[in-house]
Amino acid sequence: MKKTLIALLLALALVVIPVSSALADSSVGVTVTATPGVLSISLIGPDTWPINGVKAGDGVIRTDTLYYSNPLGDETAPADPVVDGACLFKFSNDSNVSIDITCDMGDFVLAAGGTDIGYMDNSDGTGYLDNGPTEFGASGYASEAALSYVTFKTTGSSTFITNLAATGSKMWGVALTTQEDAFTSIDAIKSTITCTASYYIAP
Amino acid sequence: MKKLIGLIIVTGLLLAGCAPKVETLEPSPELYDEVWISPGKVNVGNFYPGARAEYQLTIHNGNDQPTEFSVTFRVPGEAAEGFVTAPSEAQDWVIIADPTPVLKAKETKDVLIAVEMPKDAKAPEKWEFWIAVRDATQTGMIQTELACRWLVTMR
Repeated sequence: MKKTLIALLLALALVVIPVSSALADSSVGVTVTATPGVLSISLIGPDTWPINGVKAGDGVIRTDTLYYSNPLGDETAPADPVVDGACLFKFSNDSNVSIDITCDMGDFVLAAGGTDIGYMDNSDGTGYLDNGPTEFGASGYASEAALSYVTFKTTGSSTFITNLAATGSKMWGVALTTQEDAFTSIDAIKSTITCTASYYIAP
Repeated sequence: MKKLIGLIIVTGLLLAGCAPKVETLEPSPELYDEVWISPGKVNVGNFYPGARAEYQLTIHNGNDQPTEFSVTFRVPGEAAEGFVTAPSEAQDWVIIADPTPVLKAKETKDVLIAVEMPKDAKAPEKWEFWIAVRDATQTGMIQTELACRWLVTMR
């Protein structure tokens, strides 16, 4: 009987030791559960917008002007509903779950050096028409849907594309109104649009 | 003695049942050449000031060369229904074991994410933050990143 008891105690110790260390990672009573899923996203096609140079534009960026990343015309608004042909960019959801996509757009900085010294900042306003002195406004639009715009802010933008199915894809574009006043420099400037894929949660 | 043995067995089974269950959903072979993260969502329940919760975030480098990633705390623009976005001070509560991991080509690596709430801190009843993972070598105007959603429910 003693041997049996010792064997049982040893077996229990082997069970308890790893469990104890696992439980020690999170505090007592706290539950941590993860939903299985693999997130992956890729850009199909171009990853750069030559503003005013997609179709017939001369590539020169003028002040107080509304541009679209629209292969049908650099100053042509996409039709409603939006068709793929009016979109320059394409997301591919390579995940095995549905995703939301949120896009933030940073201030323009010097292309060489990358210093932000006020070369056209994001107004963080209400959309692509919300520009001002030294400030641009930007929004995104997506295909296969009624035409609507989602503001691209510097941070904390609202969801741009929701519930993009696993292995699905979506074409999209950007509308941007440049600053009202004259540029203070003729140096090349650039901005980055960061598109974040996150796990879709049904409301 | 039989009762004691029975008690030991039951205790062992109960403790084994307490072990956190790690569910996995294996990435498909096509994802071998892609950058991916897992899981997409972490739920923390029964959380409270002074408590700690943690989970491993898995990152895969599908590139053909060693790649540096940035792993950062993010306050989302919108939160899941019933939740609010994390308070700004939550940034100080989240610990990322390796915020700039460098992964070899096709390597998969775990990065420990922990949230430790100070005893005197306050938080909404239900709040959400993101852990964003970005391939830091991207150079285009359009760049992508992947975010694991953390949904925290206070007790």
